[in-house]
Amino acid sequence: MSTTEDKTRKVKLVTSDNEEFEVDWEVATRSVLIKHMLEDIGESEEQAIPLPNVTANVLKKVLEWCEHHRKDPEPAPESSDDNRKRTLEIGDWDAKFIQVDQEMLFEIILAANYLDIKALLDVGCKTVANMIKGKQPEEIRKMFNIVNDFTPEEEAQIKKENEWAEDR
Amino acid sequence: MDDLDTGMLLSDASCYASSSSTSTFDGGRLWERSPSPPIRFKEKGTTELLELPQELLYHICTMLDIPEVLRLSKTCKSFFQTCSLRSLWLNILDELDFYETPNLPSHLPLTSYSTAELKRRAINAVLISKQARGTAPMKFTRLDTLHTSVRFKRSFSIFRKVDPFLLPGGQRMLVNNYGQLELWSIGSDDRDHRCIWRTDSSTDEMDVVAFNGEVVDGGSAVMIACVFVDRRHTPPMLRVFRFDESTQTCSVVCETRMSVYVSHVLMIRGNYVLLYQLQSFELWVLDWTSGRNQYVDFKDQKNQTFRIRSALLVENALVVTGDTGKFFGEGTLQVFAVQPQHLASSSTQAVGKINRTTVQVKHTEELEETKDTWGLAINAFQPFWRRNANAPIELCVVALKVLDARNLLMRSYRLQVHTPEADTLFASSTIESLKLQVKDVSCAKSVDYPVAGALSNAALIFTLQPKFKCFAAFCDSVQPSPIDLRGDESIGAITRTSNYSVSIEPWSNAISVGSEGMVAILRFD
Repeated sequence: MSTTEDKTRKVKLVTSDNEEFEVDWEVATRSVLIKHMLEDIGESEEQAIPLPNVTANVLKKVLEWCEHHRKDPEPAPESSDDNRKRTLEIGDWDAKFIQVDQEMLFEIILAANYLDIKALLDVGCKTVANMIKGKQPEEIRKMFNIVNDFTPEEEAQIKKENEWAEDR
Repeated sequence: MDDLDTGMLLSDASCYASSSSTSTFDGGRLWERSPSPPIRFKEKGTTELLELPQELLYHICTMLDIPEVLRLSKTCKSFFQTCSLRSLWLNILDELDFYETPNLPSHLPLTSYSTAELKRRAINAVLISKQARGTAPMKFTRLDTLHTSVRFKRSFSIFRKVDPFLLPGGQRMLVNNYGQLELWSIGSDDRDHRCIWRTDSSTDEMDVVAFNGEVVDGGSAVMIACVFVDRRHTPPMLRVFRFDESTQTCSVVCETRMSVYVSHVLMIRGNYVLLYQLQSFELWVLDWTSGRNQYVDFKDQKNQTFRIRSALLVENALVVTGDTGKFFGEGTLQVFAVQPQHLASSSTQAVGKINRTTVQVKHTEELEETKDTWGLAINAFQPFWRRNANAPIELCVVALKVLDARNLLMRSYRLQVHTPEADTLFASSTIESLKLQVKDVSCAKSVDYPVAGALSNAALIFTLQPKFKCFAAFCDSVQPSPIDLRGDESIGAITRTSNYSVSIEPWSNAISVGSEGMVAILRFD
């Protein structure tokens, strides 16, 4: 697929709110979903790809990421020794890119999952993980607008279960 | 957003389905009820964290450390559910590093543990590592004391000690009680410990001088190897027993007279029994299933013979450390690994009735700065809980160098041994040494001598003198650090007697101390 011809090729994407984006093939195919769709429709047709799960403002942001990472090598297959999720680091550019409000952050995560862009999904999820880090349950609830739906009995039981872990 | 491709992330987390049976809550109440969406006061159209599909919340959880997972699980039912998923804890176990090796011995498959149990073991592994490498005293979690019959009046005993050896899993223990080997069942209470088998004491002239055991077949049997000697200097006898848990009976599966007196360091793993003597130039390997055995010596590429300092069997590997110096400990320590099946099946040169072979080792790993070191401890294990089925064997070697009476250097080396895929095991007819790789090296100052030569899987060693303490390898602080005995005097009482012996159960970091008439087991798990 990655011939010189592909590099000059343009791809049309249509969002749920009917906005059309024209991007380079190399940028669009950061998304495995789009890549597979392009393979399915073949190279001859100049058909626009509908993305009914993504709005224009989110796709704009996602394409910004794809544009910056257009030259990134294909991700290594899973289960390699250094593929540890807990130690994943966010690069400088990505860290700046992901400085958005919570709503946009979750929308990017959803879009990255739908479009199957693993590296962007990891950046988004790691950002949420970093927001959780070092916070007490009550602080986490406040930050993400989570309602404590445990009964007092259940809460006491969880506390009891975790007690020995925090005790030592 | 309901038609999201939810299969995408779930493909590598196929254990989702099995998670519901493992909650520690009564009747799984929290599981049966689907999580009711929390009441929110928000503007229409905004997306919130809890509106992400569960596989994405799961993906976020895989990026958290254990304390964060525990805190997050306390926020609401939805996160409690996600943070209790079996696949999450399998993932956490998978990513624990060498210093946080969990207590998951290989005789039980991972499927035999509940999610709550996997969670407990993952948390424990991290806690033990943190304690042992921190500055506060290490706390043990349980002390078992069992009373063996007092046999020290048996004045003709050759073996004059009570030597305990806890088996992985912590439920069975072998005790060499003045030459008579006993198998103990360790209960949850001190009153429940009982001796379930012992070697025949009617043949009083035979004493067990070396022994080793292994739990096999998912815990349904214990394999025991013993070397018996008598006072008439007849060649030692090696016996391999199989103790069947279902019938509680023990039978001899292999018995062989040893042609040469090789004493005292014995190991049984799988089909193989390994025996060698420190400082010697050869070791003895037996395939007890076929009775085939031979003496092996190892030479380096320059044809110099290795003086053996330690050897052990682990999965498909025989790991040996030794040096080629003129005097013991003089040379630089070298490590190499071969496959025992090659040794047992290789063509041999028979000298009299003794089968001998010399193996020229192609691939050895030199451990830097190990000249004039002693007090070697070595341990190896296969991290079978890792999803990578061919995860390399983890090997740890600790060597001590004496500067003066109160100043020692503790050098630690962490290596990985790469074993070939199972189907290529017998492909090669020549004995090829396995590939080794040094992963980590450390040096710490030490003020005490470790007593036991054994290491835990997380690279901890213990000392009893002058006080009960713990050495942690791969840690910069001065070694060892104290252990909080919480006023428990029984350990102190044992160590004040002169005649005690110690062993470490590598998986659970349990330490057994044997003295006349009793054994104490300290557990850190």
